[in-house]
Amino acid sequence: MSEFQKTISQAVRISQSTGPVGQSVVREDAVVKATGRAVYAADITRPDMLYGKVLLSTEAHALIKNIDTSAAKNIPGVHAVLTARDIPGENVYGIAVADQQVLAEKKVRFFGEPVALVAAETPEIAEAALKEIKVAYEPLEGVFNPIDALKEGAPKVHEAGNLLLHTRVRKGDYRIGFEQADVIVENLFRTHGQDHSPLEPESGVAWFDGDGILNIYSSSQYIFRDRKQVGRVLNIPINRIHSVNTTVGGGFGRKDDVTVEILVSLLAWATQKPVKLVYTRHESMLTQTHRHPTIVRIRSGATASGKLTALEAVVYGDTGAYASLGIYVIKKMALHIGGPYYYPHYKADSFSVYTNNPIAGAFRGFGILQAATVHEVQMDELARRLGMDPIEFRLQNCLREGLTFSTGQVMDQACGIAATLEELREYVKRHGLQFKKHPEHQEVER
Amino acid sequence: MLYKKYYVAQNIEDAVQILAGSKDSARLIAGGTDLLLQLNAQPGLVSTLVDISSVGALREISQQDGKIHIGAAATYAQIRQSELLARKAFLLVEASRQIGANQIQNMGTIGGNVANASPAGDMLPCLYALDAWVNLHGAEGSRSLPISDFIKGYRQIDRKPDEIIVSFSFNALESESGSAFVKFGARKAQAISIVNAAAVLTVQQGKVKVARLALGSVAPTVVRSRSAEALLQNQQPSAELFQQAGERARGDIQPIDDIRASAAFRRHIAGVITSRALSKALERI
Amino acid sequence: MDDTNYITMELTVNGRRVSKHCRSGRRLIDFLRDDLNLMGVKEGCGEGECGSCTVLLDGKAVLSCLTPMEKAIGHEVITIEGIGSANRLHPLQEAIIEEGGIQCGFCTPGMIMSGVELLARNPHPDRAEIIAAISGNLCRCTGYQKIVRSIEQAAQKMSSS
Repeated sequence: MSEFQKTISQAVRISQSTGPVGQSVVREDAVVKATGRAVYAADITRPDMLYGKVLLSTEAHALIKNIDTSAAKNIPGVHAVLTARDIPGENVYGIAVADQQVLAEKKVRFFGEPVALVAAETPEIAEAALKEIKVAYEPLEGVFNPIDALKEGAPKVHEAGNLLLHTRVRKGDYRIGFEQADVIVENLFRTHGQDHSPLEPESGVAWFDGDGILNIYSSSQYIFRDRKQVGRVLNIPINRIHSVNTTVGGGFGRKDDVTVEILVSLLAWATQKPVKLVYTRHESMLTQTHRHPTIVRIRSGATASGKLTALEAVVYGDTGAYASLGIYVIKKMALHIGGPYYYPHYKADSFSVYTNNPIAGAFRGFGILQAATVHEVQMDELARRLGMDPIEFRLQNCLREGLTFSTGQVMDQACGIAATLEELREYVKRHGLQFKKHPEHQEVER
Repeated sequence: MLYKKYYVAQNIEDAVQILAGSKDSARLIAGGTDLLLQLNAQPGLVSTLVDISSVGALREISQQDGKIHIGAAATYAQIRQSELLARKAFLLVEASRQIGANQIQNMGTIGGNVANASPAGDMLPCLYALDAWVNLHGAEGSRSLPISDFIKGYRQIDRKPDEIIVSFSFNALESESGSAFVKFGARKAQAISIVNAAAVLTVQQGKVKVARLALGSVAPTVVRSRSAEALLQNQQPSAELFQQAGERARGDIQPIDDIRASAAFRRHIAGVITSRALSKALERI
Repeated sequence: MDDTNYITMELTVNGRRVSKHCRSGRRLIDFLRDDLNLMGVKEGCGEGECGSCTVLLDGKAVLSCLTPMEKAIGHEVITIEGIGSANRLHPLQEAIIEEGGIQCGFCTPGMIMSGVELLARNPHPDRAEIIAAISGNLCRCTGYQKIVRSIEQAAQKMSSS
């Protein structure tokens, strides 16, 4: 063992024995990762392994009139071409609401929705087979904005309507709060979607053992949930599914829901051979979840002495064609749109809405990032209008123990925003920093 | 399979022969940074690749008398590190540092950038501002033409199927001359130019004697801003003058709206980076 | 359908002579991963944007996803597997472990290859030179600061040893 190895293994031992808090920790997997020996899902090969490929929808919203796979099936080296019809169990999944089809059956709801699967002896043959699958679409009018999607007569992404969830949060009476306000700041915000871009695209390898156990090695954030969802689609009990999480090349929420696990398992089931499915970056960006684009209309009021009185907000979250975790992300925005500040009167509504856009789901921050963009701009504008220092204004209004959050929850522990702001105030002083708006924006009044 | 055959040419004649013998089915490859993207998207688009990156004669950077010659297969990294170019055509060094990032600079070549003829190619405005000539060699011999004639349109070049770009040549920038390349992209590395500008400036007895200004990504091909050049002629260089030149440049271009920027934004930025390029070029005299 | 061509790849990989009869017309990354089982070469984008597939070709950092495999014939390729092993780590590998410059690890091999190339051509890089050298390598976890520090620390280790 080299000196360096001794140092590293000692550091790992210490952090394991006494716990990592308060000390520098060396990752246990740092050495395999630094030497390129860590095994990610795409690095796994099995004897006789096939390569999977997914045919993605070229329409954002369309009825599927026919899928002709005959030419693709006849290509030498192709072992399986699957469509929704071939699924042995239920053609449905979804981490929070099971509203997503594994393979599009009657209609596609977003550009890039999986329509068919191929397993072949080489990636090139699989690719060639995809080109031979003929899908007849009847395009439907699509809807690409959550506000339009809620309008009467809007194209329906799902038969039950485009509203996934309306969350209402009420505290006090916002009308009274605004009457008490000397200054009211009202704004409309749009936050954009974002791709997690974990550096490792979604990947997995699956095969059945001789005793009928399905093995799935994949890049996942939650294999136990994956296992349940795979079982439902393949119609096999979860105790027959062996899910293994390989080294994960970044997730950030992207790999919270099932990624390729069901698709690769279907191919392994159909071919009874090991199958590897690795998304390209392009496929990853089209098919996987993103951060929710949102539209927020908000008013916040404060007294001349700098006390927040009321907030009123409406949030529209574009969850795309399927729910994924969009039901909770946008729900949270209604709770957190006021930020870590105390409002005696609070009224927030959030709408998680289906559109024909790419799916939005979990992404670190989970709705809080979009909310923070909004509430911090509101706080800055209020402070400026009141002629107050932005940190002092925040300190005067931040949540403290004994105060209530938007939901009425009493803050009775771990309420660290005041301490954080005080630390920030010291930091700003120590470094001689100043808060100032960009000069071009300084004089703009709405 | 991305392509069927791969030839590594040993010399220029070798490459020309393969090209002449294979008609349109062969494509030249040097760094491959643009071509492989196309092939990955469309496997089999080209059946034969002729690699000219090992031909030593195509990688030379040299000066003969007052002329600089840059081999078409010289990489951005070579240009970035060339002491000769740092002294005699600094804008090329400045542009090479900003193309892609280190890996792309190790792979990509000036000839590839020109042959690709993208309106956003970063070498192009530099070569326009240098009044460079393109030297070609084919089955019927050699010929040379100005870069602005060689680039015929959006991704179109004046090259016969059996011809190879051998080199680029231009007058070395001597004392009293300065040059600059300014790029505006979404970020500092790995960005395609939203607008780029190259300037060559010669100042004698306090007056502008030569001003050559070229802008990229503002029209189907690189645009020489003739009205800005005319404005600068025989004037005393100053910040105000350069700002006016930037405004003139805005009138000489035909930018479009696309995924990277709107036409209006490009027009605005074109003026800003034109005056910036002129100021930098002046500082370097 | 089967118009596959074959070729003999003769080259040096990680210091060893390699001669391999295999399918032609592929990218260097495919040859390294599929034929030589060098799985440390990662594919993050396949478009030359992310730098995960960076290897050294004749000592220069190149993107193996944009390099035709035949370009390597007769040349020398070094991948992360040729930089150091658990028993004999390269100073940059040690530094990136110590500094916490690794999280998910997917960018790490490419990042190290870019760092190794930089330190070979410039043993005492400043911060700006380090940032320029790794600007073609994306990392989504670390925020880069710890990686920059790793390269600084490696430069110190290498000059003092």
